[in-house]
Amino acid sequence: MRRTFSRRAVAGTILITLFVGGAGHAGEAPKDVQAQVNALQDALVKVNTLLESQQKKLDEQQQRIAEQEKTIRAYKNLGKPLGDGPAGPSAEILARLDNVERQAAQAVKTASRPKASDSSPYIGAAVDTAFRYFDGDNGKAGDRPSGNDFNIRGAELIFYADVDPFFKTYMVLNATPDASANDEAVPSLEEAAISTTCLPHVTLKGGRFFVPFGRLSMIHDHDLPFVSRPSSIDNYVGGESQGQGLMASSVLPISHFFQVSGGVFNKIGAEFPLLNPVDGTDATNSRRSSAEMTYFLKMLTSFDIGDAHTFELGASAVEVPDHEIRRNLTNLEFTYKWHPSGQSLPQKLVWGTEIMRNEQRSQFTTTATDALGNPIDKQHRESITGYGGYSYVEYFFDRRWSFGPRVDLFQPVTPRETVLPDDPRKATRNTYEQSYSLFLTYKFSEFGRMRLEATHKIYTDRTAANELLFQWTVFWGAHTHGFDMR
Amino acid sequence: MSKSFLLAALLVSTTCFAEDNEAKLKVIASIPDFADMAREIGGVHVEVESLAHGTEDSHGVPVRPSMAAKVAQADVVIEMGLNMEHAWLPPLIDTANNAKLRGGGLIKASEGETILEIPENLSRTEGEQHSEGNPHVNLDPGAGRILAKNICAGLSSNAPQFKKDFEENLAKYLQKLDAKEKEWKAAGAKLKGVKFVSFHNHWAYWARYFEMEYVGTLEPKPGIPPSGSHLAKLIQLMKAQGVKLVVREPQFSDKIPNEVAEKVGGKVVKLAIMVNGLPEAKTWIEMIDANLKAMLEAVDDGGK
Repeated sequence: MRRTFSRRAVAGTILITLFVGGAGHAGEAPKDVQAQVNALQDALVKVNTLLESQQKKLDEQQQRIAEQEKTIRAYKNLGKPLGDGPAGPSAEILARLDNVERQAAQAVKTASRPKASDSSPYIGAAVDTAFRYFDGDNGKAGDRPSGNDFNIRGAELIFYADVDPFFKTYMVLNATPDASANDEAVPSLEEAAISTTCLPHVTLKGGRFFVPFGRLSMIHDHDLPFVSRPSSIDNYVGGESQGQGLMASSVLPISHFFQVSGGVFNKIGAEFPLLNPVDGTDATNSRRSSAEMTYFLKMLTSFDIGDAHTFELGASAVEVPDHEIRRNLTNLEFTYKWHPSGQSLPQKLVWGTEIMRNEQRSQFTTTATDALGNPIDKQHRESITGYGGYSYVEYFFDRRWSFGPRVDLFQPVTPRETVLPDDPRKATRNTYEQSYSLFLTYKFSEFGRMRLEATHKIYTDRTAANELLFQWTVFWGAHTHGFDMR
Repeated sequence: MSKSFLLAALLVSTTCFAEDNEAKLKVIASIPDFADMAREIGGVHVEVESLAHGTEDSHGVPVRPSMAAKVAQADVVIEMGLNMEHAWLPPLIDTANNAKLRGGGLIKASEGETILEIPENLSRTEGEQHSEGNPHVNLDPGAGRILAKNICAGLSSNAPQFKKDFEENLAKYLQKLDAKEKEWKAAGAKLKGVKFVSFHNHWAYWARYFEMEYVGTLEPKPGIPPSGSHLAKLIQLMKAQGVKLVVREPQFSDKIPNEVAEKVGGKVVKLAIMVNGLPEAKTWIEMIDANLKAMLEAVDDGGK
């Protein structure tokens, strides 16, 4: 609405004021009155001029306000659809907003871009400690004393990194106290391997690593489902399945899971002796033929029944073909997992079993006498076959707690030891060393756990022993969840 | 062998092994939410499967060897990223050794989303932290757009011959999302200012969208199961602040949430953290619908 000063009202007010003022001066001479009227007229003209100027400015401001209101209405009308729909942003505005969001996201991403030092290797560690009470004979306590014993089963440093678009690598350093050397813990290289990442459906792995023989021999001690490694694996494989060599593995590109692995190694088994030629010379002054290498092959498949049941079946074989040194170790593995989804509890059950056949050549010397009574050494070679394996069940009834039993049986096979004809082990060759265990695990978090294990052992000489183990394990730093740890 | 036979054999083998441009793209999604979006956007050009069912803990989906076979055969794998799947997806990808996943076949659905709760300091004393921030982006009703766009971009770059169809399907899906978001905003206005706790820290994005107050979790720290002392403090806090709503996710027992709700005179509501986490949550949109409906009912029933 156009506002105007009422010029008439203003003029009238001035005139009234002047009239009232002038009335006070009534009786002045006519000449003075004329001069005053002239002055009033001049003032009125000036006031009029001022009023006109102010009005003009007011008109200009009102016009500007009207134009701005028009612009605002125009912006509001931009998103208004035809008909009665509610107003909303136009496609153009949405596109521009989208662009701004993307640019902002890019800016944030750039600001948080990794620095060059972020390509450093990942480093993780595991500290695995245990207390053991063993009431058996000293000779049966393994490489630790019987009775009470605290031990660092392993202090491991793990490094892993992508090398380039073609390879990745990792290294595991481990230190374990040596009871025969005042519990000195000397770091050693447990694993160091290179894997390809660029070959389609095939992975080549070379170096020193745990060969995937069976299920548990390739698992580090601190990652086992229980405290102690099954004696059948310790005896037949030689502890962890460490080997130095080259392996290829592949998950076949078919709809059904089928994994094949094969390789060649100097030997397999961390505690298994490095095979020497039959003539007994040491490894540094000998020649290892192709027949004296250790060959490995494995096949693994799985079946799912519904969502809750998974079965895994595998077969592995390790062979040293050489007739004199012959080693043939075969394994059948079976794992069943029950893991119901749709339930509100993290319940899970795992049943794992491995059965092994171990055949090893052993050579021994007997001493006879000739007709003159002189001693004559005679070399014998003997092939010893043993069967063994374990079976365990682990039930997880909580995010923290799990427990289970384990049975472990094997026929002892002594690799490459001299066996005398009257050795009592010959008489017990057809008997099994047995272990019956119960274990209980408590997980504080993904990175720390405690475990209790009680085992009753029965040896082939019919003696028995009991073992109680308490394990405390933590992990820190970067960590990976390997497929083998499923 | 006659030349004509050789030529025929060559032609047949060429035909058999020629690239089939009409073959469907094999898509493996880490969680069913992405499988649903991939089906919406991919249409007839994709075969989609999800590794997780939807009722598991998204951080700890049990690894089965059959999953490795699926990943080995996939043309494309869609993951959330942000370390949500770090405990189970990377070992499958490693074992599968699928070269396509190194050449752009791994799609990170959360790319470009404004991530909440990026930790300033990383320390195991804070539990199982997510170094890249809260990864539960799929529970943000407003994130459907960006998740779908990233999936569309990923499918298009891996199958450019279908890009036009993917983009058309995306446009339709985005229109659907626009309409649903208006519904959710309208219906969810009642949730503004409502305070709640949950078992695990899943709901930061949800709380932001509906302007709810996310007071705390039954876990003292991420991945650490509830302890008596922490629950006592939490109950005290809930009583002091008048928090009545306790959210329980499908992978957790209802025992502790029920106990907490009883002590504060409140209400437990079960929400899905993935598609299929509730029976009526068969798609991502249905999951948000179902979660919103459940929450509103709980609020009406004394959860506020």
